[in-house]
Amino acid sequence: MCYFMNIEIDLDDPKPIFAQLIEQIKQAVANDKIAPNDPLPSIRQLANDLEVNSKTISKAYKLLERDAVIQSKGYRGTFVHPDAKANCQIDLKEWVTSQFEELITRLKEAGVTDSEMRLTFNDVLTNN
Amino acid sequence: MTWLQAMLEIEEKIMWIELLFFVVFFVQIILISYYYPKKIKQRMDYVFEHCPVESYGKMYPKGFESALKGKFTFSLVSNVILVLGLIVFVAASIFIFKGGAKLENFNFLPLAYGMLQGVPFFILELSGFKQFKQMREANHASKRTAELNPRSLFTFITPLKLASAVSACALCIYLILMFNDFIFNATVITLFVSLTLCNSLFLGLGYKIIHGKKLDPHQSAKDRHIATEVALGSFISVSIMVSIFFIFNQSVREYSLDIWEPMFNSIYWVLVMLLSTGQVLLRVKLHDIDFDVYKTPTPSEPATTNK
Repeated sequence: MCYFMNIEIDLDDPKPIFAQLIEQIKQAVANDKIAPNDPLPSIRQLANDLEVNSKTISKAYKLLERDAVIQSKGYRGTFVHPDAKANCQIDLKEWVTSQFEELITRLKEAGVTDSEMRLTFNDVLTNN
Repeated sequence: MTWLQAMLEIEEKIMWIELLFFVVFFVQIILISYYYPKKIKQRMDYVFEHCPVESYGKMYPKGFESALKGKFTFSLVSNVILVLGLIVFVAASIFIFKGGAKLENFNFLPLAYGMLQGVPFFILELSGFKQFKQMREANHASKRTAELNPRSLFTFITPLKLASAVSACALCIYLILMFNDFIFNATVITLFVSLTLCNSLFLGLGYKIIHGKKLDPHQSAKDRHIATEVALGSFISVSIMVSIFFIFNQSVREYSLDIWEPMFNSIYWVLVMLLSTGQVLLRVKLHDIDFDVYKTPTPSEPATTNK
């Protein structure tokens, strides 16, 4: 095996590094540059190669794992999820926005003020 | 005097083993102090010619003069060692063939001279590390790239190669113990410590090459893969050679092979260089290296990228 699929980050880009990584890994999956069950580099390897903190890579991997784009198999390493291509299409941010829009509309119709919503949102988020 | 007796007398006078030793020792001198330095200088000239400092500034972090100075130092040290080797060769051959000394008294010569021959290559390696460090310090690129495929030991070498080195090491340990009647005396402990230190060095370097930070910040993924493959391959080969050397070193005492020792030491040194420097020169082709990564960006170009 000797393919050289590269990812690139830009430190000057206003978008956070972990977000750039997520986007590029998702793009690589969507464009069939990496296939389901393909192994991915370890967090340390990627952090060393990109000269960034390993926590940044870890964060990107955690979010990709949450979205079922990659899966961790313990000591064997990290692999592309078998359903990664389908899961890449789901835009979680868009889904969250639509959910909030729906909820806020209903709350406003019920007469809840913006500050009440903010306070309640913060309370719920803190207690969860 | 019979015909057979006459032949035996002639054969004794010819001193075949001594003759063979000097042939091998001459090959050692020429290969390591003339042929390989010549090849390396040719490579330097190729790079200087095809990658001028005006367009490939990233390659010369301390300027072109510094690179030329490095080539001159390498050339000078190699030539001095070559001349010294030829003087030693002539002196030793006169001394031995005139009967002034026995060949077995020269068993240190190929190894001691071999160590000296390694000096220019060591200087070259050190200046390479220094140059990479300067490249990293001068690299202010905002864009960084990484391979999306994992690297492990078996990405670069076959399990068979590793098994060969481990088997050679195990055989070496067994034979050392056998030759010493399975008693842990000072000789056995010294040999084991040397063997462990040597192999630990290869393991450490190998780990650093595979999992460590990129030495050359601009090197392309493909070039890094080839360089790692060649380096690990030579570590394996040299590790096997070290085991063989220790086995022979013990066999000399056990089977009274003293007269063969200088020749074996010389062959050993030649093989070590063939399997390390020789492999690098053979497998890393200059035409295949991506030199574009070292190009200086024009003012209109965006920030450079390390591939």
